[in-house]
Amino acid sequence: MSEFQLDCCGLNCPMPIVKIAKAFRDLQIGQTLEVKATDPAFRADVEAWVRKTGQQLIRYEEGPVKIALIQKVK
Amino acid sequence: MVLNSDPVLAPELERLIDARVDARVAQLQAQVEELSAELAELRSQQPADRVTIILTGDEIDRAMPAFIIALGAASFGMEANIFCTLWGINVLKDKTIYSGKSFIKKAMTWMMPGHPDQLGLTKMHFWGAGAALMRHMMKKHNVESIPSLIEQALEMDVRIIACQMTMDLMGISTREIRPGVEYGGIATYIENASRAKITLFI
Repeated sequence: MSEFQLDCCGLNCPMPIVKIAKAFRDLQIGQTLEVKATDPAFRADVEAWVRKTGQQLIRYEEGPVKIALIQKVK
Repeated sequence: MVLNSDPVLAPELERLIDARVDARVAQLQAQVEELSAELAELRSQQPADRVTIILTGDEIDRAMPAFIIALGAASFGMEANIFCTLWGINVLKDKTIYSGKSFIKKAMTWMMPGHPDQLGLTKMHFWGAGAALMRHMMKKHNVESIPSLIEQALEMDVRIIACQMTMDLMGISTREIRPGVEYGGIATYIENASRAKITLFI
C-alpha cells in the first residue's frame, strides 16, 4: 500500500500521465504513488514516462484495472 | 647538479626557467578562456527540451492532437508551446464580439467559431452534424473535450501564443480571446522553434 493513491480509471490518453505529472509535483523524494488506470495504453505510457523523467517504476500489475507503483527518486 | 650550485649561474638559470613557465601558463590560460567561450557558445545553440507546435486549423481533429501532444510533453517535463495562426486562433476564443468591426470583418466573425465548443471537423462535418456526433462520441469514450484540454494545458504551463498579424487580418480582437493566451509574431515562434527538439505543423 502506497502513501498516495491516484485513481485514473475511465480516463483516456493523455490524462493519466498528466495527472501523474501533477501529483509528482507535490511528492517528496522517496515517496511513492499508486496509480490505478483502465487506459489501454497505460503500461507503455507509464514506462515511457518514468524513463524520460528519471523516476522509478517499482511495480506494475496488468488486469482489467492496471496498477502502477511509482517512486519519486529525483 | 653542478650548475645549480654555481653562485653566478644559479639565479640566472632560475630567472630563465621562471620566464619560460610564466609564458607557458599565460598561453594555457588564454587557451582555456578561448575554449570556455566556445563551450558557452555551443551550449547556447544546443536544443532545449522543448516541443513547438503550429496550429493553423480550427477543427476538432486538428485542435485535439495539438493540445494532447502539448499536454503530454508538459507531463514529460518538457517545455511546450502552441503557436496558433489563421483559423487556429479561433480555438482560443471564448466569445464572439461584433462591435467595432467593419462589415466584412463582422461577416467573417459570423462565419467563424466563437468558442472551442463550436469547432467543426475537417472530414464528415455535414454542416455541424458530424462535429456534434464527434463531441458526443468523445464524451461517451471519456476523451477530454477541447475546452478542457486547453484549460489543462494552461494549468501545465503550456504556452499558447496567438499570431497577432493574422488576428488583425481575420478581424479577431483580443477581447474575444480567452485569458492565459500570449500574443506574438514570427520572431516569437522562430526563437522558440530554433532550439526545440520537436516541431510540428498541424
